[in-house]
Amino acid sequence: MATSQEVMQVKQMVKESILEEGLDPNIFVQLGEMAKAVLQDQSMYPQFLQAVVDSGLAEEADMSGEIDYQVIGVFIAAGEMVKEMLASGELGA
Amino acid sequence: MGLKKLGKWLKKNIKPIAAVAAVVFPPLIPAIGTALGATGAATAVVGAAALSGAASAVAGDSTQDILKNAALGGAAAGVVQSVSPTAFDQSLPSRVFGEGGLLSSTTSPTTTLAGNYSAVSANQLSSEVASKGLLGGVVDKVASFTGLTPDTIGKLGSAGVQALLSSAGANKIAEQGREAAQTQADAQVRAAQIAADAAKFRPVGVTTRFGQSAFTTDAQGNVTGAGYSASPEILGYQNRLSTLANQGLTQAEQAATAYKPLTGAAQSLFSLGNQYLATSPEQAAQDYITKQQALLAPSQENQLALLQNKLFQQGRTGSASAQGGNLMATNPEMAAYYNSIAQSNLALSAQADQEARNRIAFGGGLFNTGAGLQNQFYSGQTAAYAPFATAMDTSSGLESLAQQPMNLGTSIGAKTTASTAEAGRLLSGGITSAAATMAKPDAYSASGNLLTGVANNPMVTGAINNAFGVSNAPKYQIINGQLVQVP
Repeated sequence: MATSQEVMQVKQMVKESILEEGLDPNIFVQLGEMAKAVLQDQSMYPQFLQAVVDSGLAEEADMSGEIDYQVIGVFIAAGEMVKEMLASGELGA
Repeated sequence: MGLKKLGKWLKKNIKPIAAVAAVVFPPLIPAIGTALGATGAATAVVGAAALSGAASAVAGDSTQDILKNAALGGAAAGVVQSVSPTAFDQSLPSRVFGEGGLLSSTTSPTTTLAGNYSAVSANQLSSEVASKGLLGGVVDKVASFTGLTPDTIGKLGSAGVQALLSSAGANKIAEQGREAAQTQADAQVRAAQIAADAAKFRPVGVTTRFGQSAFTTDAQGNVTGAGYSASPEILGYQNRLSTLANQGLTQAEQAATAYKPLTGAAQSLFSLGNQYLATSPEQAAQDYITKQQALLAPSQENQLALLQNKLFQQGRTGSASAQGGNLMATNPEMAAYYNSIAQSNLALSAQADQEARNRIAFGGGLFNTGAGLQNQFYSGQTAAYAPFATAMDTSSGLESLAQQPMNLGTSIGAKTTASTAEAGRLLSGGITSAAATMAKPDAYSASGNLLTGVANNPMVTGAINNAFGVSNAPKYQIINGQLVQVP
């Protein structure tokens, strides 16, 4: 199980990469919420993938086959981390 | 279906975020497991496998495959067991996992595994092993399911494979149990250490105008010394008082000699008083009269001489005249003279009793006076200690002022220690309870239970019995690489 120190390191890495690439932190919050919705209604998965591509975080999506739950989990976790950083002021709104 | 070509940000972060996702959002794993249709304890295993990407759920494997891969790979079972599947809203559309969905099965589950999920493939596999023996197709399935090579399976035979599965399951469970017990014990030890550390006395350093506390601790934080240092002001006063105390003590030492005359005077008064008290009242009265007459005698004799000389000069020496009645004839001057003496004696006699009582009272008073002097001999010596005692008392008071920082530090430390000890006790209790709560989930072994479930399948009981020599079970032997039942 990841330690709190590891979580802090990943959080820092996420923050730095967002700033480096000039990404809008709110995109991650929105995608995180969409990913949560997918867990409750898998039919929303294509829209979620399209939103990821539209945000520029991916260049192409494969709309056939099974759901990639790792991607879902990553965006939910990223959304949560960014939400915390926005709330604490680590990232600008 | 997924992201075919990741952007720069996602490429860089997807794996690190996936590694901590379950911690960042605890309901995630059970939610994914539920989304994949798993129930009960399998929810966490399936969710962890899907999240880690180790399981091939994305590639379209069956739920059983996910479970098998997760179980054989030990996919973070201990990590995710504590997360309640209900922590995430599980209102998933049943159509996803309904007929034809990921969870649908053409074979009704007949074996409920200890992990509380249906081992459809295990049941099917066991049935096939029992009914067909280790034929090529069955061996492939066993190899796929267990990870054993076909060659090894052929060498072990059906019973050996079953025994291995059973042993592997038991060992896995035992290993998990040991690890869980060790984890629990470690947590309890840590909890005790935290509680003990929190309960350590931690005095607080305090400085006042009159002094400063000085506590010393060892490397482990245990208090090894407590003291204080008086302020220069207090020390200055004490030094001066020490001089006074020395002088006062010298005076006290000399007091007995200085007051010794009081003892002599008291003894004299006692002797004198004894003399007064030794005389009876009558004798005292007589003594009074005698003394008074003796005192009066010279003047009376002088008066008589003067009177006789006067009579001689007048030529009346020896002359007397009648006094009338039965009184003797006499010279008038001489009669007056003697009458005055008689009158004086009468007055002395009348005063003698009172004077006797006065003398006795005076003698008693001498004793009182003597006793008073003797008492002063002692009280004087006691009083002589006063300068010394006063100096010491004052110095002691100053010492108390200097001690106050240490007492304050001890008192504050006791209060803070009590609160931290209580906090430590609560934390310790929480850790111990958490360890106890986690013990069962930690002891749960997905792979162990899965393998044990397979081995416990009644469909393969015969083969297991054969392996362990149970007489009433069918016996099998490997002949030319094939499992053959023998009498």
